[in-house]
Amino acid sequence: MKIPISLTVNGDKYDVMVSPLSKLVDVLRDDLLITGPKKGCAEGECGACTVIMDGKPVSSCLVLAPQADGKEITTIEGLEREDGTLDPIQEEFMNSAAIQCGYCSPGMMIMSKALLMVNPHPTEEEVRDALSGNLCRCTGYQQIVDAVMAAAEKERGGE
Amino acid sequence: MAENKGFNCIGKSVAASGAWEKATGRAQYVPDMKLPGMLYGKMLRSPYAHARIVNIDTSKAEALEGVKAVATIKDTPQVNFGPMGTNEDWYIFAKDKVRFIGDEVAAVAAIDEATAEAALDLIEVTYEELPAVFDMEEAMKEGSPVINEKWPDNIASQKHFGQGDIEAGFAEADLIVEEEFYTNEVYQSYMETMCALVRPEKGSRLTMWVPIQIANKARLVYAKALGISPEDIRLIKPFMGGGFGAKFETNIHLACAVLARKTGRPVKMINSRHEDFAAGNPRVPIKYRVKMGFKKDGTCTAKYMHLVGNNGCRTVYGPAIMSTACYRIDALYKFPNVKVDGYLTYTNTVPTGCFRGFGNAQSIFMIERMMDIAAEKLGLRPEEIRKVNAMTPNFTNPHGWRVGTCGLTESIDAVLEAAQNRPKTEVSPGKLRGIGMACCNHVSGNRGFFPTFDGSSSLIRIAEDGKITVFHGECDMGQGQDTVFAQIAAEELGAKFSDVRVAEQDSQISPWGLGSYATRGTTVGGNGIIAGCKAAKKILFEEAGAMLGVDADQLDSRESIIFWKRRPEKSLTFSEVGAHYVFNHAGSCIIGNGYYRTGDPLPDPKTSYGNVSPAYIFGCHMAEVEIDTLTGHVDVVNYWAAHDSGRPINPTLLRGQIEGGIGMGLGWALWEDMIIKDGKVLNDGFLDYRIPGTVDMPRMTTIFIETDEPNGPFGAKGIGEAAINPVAPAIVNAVCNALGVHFNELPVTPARILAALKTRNKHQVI
Amino acid sequence: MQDPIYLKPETLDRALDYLTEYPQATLWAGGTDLIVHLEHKKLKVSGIIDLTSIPELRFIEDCGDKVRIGALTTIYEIQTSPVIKKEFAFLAQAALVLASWQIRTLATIGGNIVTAAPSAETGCPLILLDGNIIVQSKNGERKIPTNQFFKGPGKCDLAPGEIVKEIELEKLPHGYQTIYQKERLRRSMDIALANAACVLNLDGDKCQEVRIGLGAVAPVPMRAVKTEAVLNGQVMSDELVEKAAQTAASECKPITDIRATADYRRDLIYALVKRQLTALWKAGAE
Repeated sequence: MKIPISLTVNGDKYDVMVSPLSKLVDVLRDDLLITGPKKGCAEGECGACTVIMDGKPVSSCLVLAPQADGKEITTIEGLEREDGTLDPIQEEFMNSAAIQCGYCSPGMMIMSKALLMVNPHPTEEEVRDALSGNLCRCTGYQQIVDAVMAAAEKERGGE
Repeated sequence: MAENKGFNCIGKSVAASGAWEKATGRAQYVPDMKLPGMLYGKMLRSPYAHARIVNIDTSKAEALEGVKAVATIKDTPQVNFGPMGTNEDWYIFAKDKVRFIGDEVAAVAAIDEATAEAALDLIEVTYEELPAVFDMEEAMKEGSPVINEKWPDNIASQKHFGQGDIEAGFAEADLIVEEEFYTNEVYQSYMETMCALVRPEKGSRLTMWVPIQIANKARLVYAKALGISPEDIRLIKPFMGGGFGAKFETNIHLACAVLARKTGRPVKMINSRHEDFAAGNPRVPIKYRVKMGFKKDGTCTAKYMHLVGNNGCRTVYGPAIMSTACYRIDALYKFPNVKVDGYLTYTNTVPTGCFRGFGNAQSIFMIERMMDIAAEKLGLRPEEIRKVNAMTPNFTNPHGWRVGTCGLTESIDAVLEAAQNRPKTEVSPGKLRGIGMACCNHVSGNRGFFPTFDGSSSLIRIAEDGKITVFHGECDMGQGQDTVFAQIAAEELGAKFSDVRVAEQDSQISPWGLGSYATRGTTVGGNGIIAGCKAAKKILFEEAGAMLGVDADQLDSRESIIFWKRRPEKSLTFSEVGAHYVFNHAGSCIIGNGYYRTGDPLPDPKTSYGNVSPAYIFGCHMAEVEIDTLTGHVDVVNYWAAHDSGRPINPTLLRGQIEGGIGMGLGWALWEDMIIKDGKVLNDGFLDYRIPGTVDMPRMTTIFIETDEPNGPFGAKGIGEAAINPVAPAIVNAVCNALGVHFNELPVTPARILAALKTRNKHQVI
Repeated sequence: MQDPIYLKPETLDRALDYLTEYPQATLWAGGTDLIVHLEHKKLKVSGIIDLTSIPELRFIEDCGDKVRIGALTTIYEIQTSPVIKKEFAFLAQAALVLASWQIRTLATIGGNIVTAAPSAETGCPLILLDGNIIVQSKNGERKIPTNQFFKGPGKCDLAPGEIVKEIELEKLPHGYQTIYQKERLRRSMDIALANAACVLNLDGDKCQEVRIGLGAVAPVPMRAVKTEAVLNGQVMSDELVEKAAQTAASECKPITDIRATADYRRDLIYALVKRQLTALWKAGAE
């Protein structure tokens, strides 16, 4: 039997009927058409589906949909501000060419956001550690790490 | 730095086109798409490596609530087809028998994914197991099980050719080196698995949204498989989550089309990651037996190679890959006398195909290990033996390849200098350090891939507001090709970069192009863009000339403004001219249609003689490794890469291609390996097939050796595949250098390194 | 498609009631392993009792001579807890290298021990500490010493009707040092090919007490008793460390699988034990 859940995604509240065994990533993508989070492996190994749930990063392929009931979720779509300006992470990912095919990018940027939320002054090593559960096959990671460092500096500049 | 030549847009690191869509989550990839009435498809795959299909009973599956169709071979035209005309050994679904674990047996379309999956369990297939063969050399032996009736010896293709006098070459050698090598089977690991969305249209027409590197060629193959005309297929390639060679023709696209036709509704199919490992197109593994002759100074006098490659059970592009492996390295070094025997065999394993490097990556591993082995025997430094044999500019090789620009020697010198200037850091206790180098070459646009076709074209439209749209038939799979095309178009037209946009690849409007492979985008595709731009510019300038009362050839353009060269203040904007043209030609836009071809005859299929590419690319990498003597773990601590890719069009994107290639090659060198037992891929996911993550990658230094290639657009050449070619040998050479042990097989895992260390220590004690 | 029952109790008592009512239901905490088994169709689920909304099971409490950890405390909370870092540094080290950050946010300490993977990060530190796994059923509470909880790959001492409630751990006496390390194929997120933990109390160079735990080299995280016997009461020396590392490599019982051979796992245990003993000995001497 399907059960009702209610969750807030990027500030918008949704009521959905879900199968108890469905996953948060599928509810976001298939039911809500919030397709920023990608499915690269469906077993927590690639990080492409990373979202922020109640302030913390989670692999949305490892969360049962009913577990997201009552939660606040931020996906890549939620990083953009209402006036259309982008988060420094998004800006710097574009500037540093940290995005090639783009399939890992939503998870990569959300994970970077989660890092900067708790550690606004990361070292390069801390950036690499934080992103070590996010796979990218295009870049070799250097331009991604550079983008996160640049975004952190930009955000600090605005303090 | 090469001379700027006053370029406006070439050489600038503009942000990649599509980056905003990707950065904001707006980019729509096929798995993101949902159409009204859409069904979800799932594939039933064979659990047997080789078995006769006695019966398929789909009735229970069809009776399941929510199931809309179950398709098998009976729902298809049942014709043989295939990506390569020489080996048409495919069916959309298994016909009479299955040939590998993962073979497509049937497919289900249902109202949701869970229902489709449940229905798979209800399809009853009766199999009768057949003897199977998994080893590429076993397969050639007398009495091996026959996999494809038309190829009873299991040899999918073979190549035997040579140039020069091999015996004389060996006779004049001071040193003969004979070695064996093995390059293993690896998986491309693009982040988006293979998938398709197909909508049935009226009659026999279909609209297919698929991530594919060769949209137009695939359309021909798919039309044959489905028994329809190519124009019946509208093929759209939206944003694409990587390819690296894997995303060529694949049966999941066709199965999806069959389901769409059968149900009359749009159907989306997505491979799970496990399916993608089991039934993708991994790299062709190759076994080498090599004999080479050298003079005391390192000059190579003769090279003989015997290769056996594994094609898997049906042919993707194995024969072309094998052929490449047989002789492309003959443009890296000047080998005067060469001979090769290459065999590609059928086995009951997953079909193998293209993977960045396309056979050349395999042979470069072999030759770059060979060079280090020979150098050691001759008492030469690794760079000495390479430089004495290195390709030089304006040289025609024994196969008739006309190398134009060539920055190979400069690449070697550049990485050496960078490595020598590295900050010297203390080696940690219990660690060993080593340094290694490897060179590479590649084509920049292979011309013999799809014979009769050569070159590239574009269609350039200048609208009434002066904005430019580039239509092309190539393929951006994430590497930045569209950005480079936009930069080339802006430069050629004298337009503002921000005025140029590149249209999505859609066979309904895009010209016929071959797509992304053989590192051909920048050189061949770029020249096609220039041709279209020249045609558009001619119309634009004629219109402007008429408006200004000046001859068209007296005009020039810059930043989307056309001006009289003699009196630049006499000018018009693109939008003024565009509007004038459109409104005076009953709505017809300025459209330039142009194409580029080298004009050379294509290489002879028998002797392989003939210039295969308009330009050739070169590079040299160096790696420094640190090895944990207790665990065998390798850390790559420093990495330098120098490449001659002609004139860089977008340096940041070029650097990204190189760094990405290094990442991919690092994984191949150290861990990546498809463990296949009795035809089954055992490590069929990212848990046990490890690709490098953030912490495994060193900081990399990239160096551009700028040349001005006359055959390239604005002097540019390609990069994509060259970036991975030298990585595995550079790292393995560094490991060998640290340990004083030779490794000739990939990957060089910690366990193998530790075993070698133990043997070495024992010898030292003795 | 028959959907399973989904229950989300907010107290432990309610969870136990549900478990009595639906004895076949699967207890679900972080679920990061279970959901993968579901994906691979290795797990059939008739009902789910989701424990993640039971606040009483999520805490880290310093009780003077011991520390209590609620079973639903996440690995991320263990990794960042000042109490854990101070009292059981090696447990925090183990948590830090467990999977990825986005998994550590979800995964719980209770789930990690109940999953009972031979390679589980928290296993080795826990079996070296004096303490209990406390499980609760309708019949009351049961305390299982930490070193007796693991029974085999995927098996632990948990009876039907029981739920892991908390882990209580005795603090280590002053001067005891701890370390946890793992060896893996790649440095980025990876499963352990072998892991080890060590507790060492030195008096000068003399080994007063050592405890060594080895993971991924036996059906359960194992105590290296023979290795400990080599060291206890002895004066630390390079030779002694060498002998201990060799003993550990020979007393572990690894298997060969697609990740590593048994022999290579022994080599890794040798490396881990040698490095850990050397590190703690050198740190203790300072």
